Amino acid sequence: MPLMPERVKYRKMHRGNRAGLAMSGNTVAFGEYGLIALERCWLDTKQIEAARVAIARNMKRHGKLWIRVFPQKSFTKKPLETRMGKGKGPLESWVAVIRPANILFEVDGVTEVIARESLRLAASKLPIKTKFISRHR
Amino acid sequence: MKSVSLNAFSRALGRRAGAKKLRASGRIPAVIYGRQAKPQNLEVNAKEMEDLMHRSMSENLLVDLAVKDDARAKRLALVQEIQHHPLSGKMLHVDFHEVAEDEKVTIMVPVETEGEAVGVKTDGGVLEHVLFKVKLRGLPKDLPEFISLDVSPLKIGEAIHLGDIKPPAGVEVIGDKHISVVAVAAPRAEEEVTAAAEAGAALGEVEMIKEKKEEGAEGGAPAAPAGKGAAAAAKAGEKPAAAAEKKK
Repeated sequence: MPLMPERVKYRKMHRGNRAGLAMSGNTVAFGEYGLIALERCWLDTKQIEAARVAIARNMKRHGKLWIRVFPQKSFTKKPLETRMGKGKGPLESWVAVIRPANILFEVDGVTEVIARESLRLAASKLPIKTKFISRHR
Repeated sequence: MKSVSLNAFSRALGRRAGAKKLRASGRIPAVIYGRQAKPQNLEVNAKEMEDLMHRSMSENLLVDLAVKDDARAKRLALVQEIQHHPLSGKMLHVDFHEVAEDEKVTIMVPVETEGEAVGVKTDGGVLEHVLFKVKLRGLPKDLPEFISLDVSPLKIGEAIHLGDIKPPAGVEVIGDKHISVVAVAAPRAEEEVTAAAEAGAALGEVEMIKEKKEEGAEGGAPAAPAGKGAAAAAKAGEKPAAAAEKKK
């Protein structure tokens, strides 16, 4: 299940910046427990999918899962052994820009023990430090 | 809701730098506003405020503010909003809404669930919180800190609606009575999951189709110059013919 936008106006984007803290998407909004980012990164489609699978397997079809991030940014890469110039490279992947305090995943309908373990397994698939939080902090 | 006492001090330090200095010194910037008086900048003790919040069930608190060097000894206020740091969760700012004892107010109150639903326990359903907060209206002393709902009789497909909530005496629930607050949904079958995955894959391909369309549009653009070229060639063909006629 590749997470990527359905339609975009322009395929190739600028790199942008990822400074500061997440000013939106920083509260547990749907579930009871969540996984909050403590660092900044570009989270790509494969990493999000790997974390999702880890959570789903551990919850064994119980409860509910929300993926709070979506890879809306594309990035390009020049092929190996290519000389510089000749325009921007081909599309490499789609990523979500993650800033500290972004909520990555939320779960509900399971006990705190299961939620904690599921999100721990998911965190091990991610390239950044994260923290388990509950709605009531 | 019982009122608790809290000490506050009038604040002279303003803006960002002032607020930072305050927080470093163990105080939290605050503000009080309401119908009774003009808004006033305050500061409260961070430790005192945190203790209060730890002891309460929600962020809805009724406080008796004792503002130092103020004409009124006590000012009854509701905690309207608390701003937290997004990462550390520390309190950054507190809004107090001054209220009168005999005047009705509207606040958002959190909803807590009690027990385990039958649909979840025996049939493997999922308890869904649709509304985490409900809007209540009443006198400050009558308003509850939170609303507790017993979900144990709920089966799969059943829900507790806003109209089913029984608030304390003197308090009314505001909103559409048919909106569900808590519901028990059927467990999601594995087939649905795989179907969703396939749909996702198909969506992924849609992006490529869009790209092809763009390419097609680009391909269509050069066709126009070719057409122009043909037209130009035709004109060029006409010109020699016209010249030959002139020679004649």
